[in-house]
Amino acid sequence: METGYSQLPQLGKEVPGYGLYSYAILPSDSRRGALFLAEVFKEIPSIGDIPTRPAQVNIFYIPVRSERAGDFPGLVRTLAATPDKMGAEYTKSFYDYRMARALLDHVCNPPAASVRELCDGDLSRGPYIFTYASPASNMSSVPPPFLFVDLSDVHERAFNELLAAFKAQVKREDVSDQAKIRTLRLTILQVALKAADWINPVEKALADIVHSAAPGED
Amino acid sequence: MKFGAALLVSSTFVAIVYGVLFSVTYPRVEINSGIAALCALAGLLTCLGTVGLWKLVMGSRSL
Repeated sequence: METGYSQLPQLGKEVPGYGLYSYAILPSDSRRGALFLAEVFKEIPSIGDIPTRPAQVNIFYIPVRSERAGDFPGLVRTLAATPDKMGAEYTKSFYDYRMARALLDHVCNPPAASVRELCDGDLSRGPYIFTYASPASNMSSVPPPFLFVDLSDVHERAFNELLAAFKAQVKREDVSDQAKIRTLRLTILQVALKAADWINPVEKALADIVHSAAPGED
Repeated sequence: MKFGAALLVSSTFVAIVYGVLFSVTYPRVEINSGIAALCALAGLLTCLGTVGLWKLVMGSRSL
């Protein structure tokens, strides 16, 4: 099962016939959202570049404001070489946050056992990835099984590894079991990246102290 | 070789091993100064821990 991204200009406008339907859900315009989309544009090819027949493809929809959908090819032409800028521009001017919140409402109406805690809590962080066996954007309630990946606590520098794990997960027989996502390997990565964030300022402070204490320095 | 120099050399070597292991395990994650510092710290702690363990074992044997 290959994964390819596409835009979703309106709820219920998915193309039928794909093997799986995934949605990139960003609750609000944020730096994390921009970094996530940058990694999506780096790691996931456009659906048009996938030669596999649709029944064996996981289509990864990114909500787009319907009035800006026509401008996306231009964005790709100008910023394809710089995914970071493309992600930032997409979150700022293209992404449809209303549609994203509607998708979250569908997942949480009523919430399945696997997402009950999440739905009862703060849904303003994200990003989230939601995967279903059929088009789900127009369903008022989404019955399980589905895959819902909460990246709220994931370090931004681990988004690429998480996306790679997600692509491996959708190839599994049971898509919803998260066996490729909840791994010791990715947990250790989270800990290492957070520890590295803590060490960096300490390292700089120590360097400043050494510099200021060194004889002959101003 | 003095203890300090031996510790520095061995902890540098262990830090490099940790860095290589990290890059092999997470090929998509770029190694920045934070990760490098973490490897250096882990290397130093590993060597200090090994020295401590060695002294503990040798000390208990000589009793």
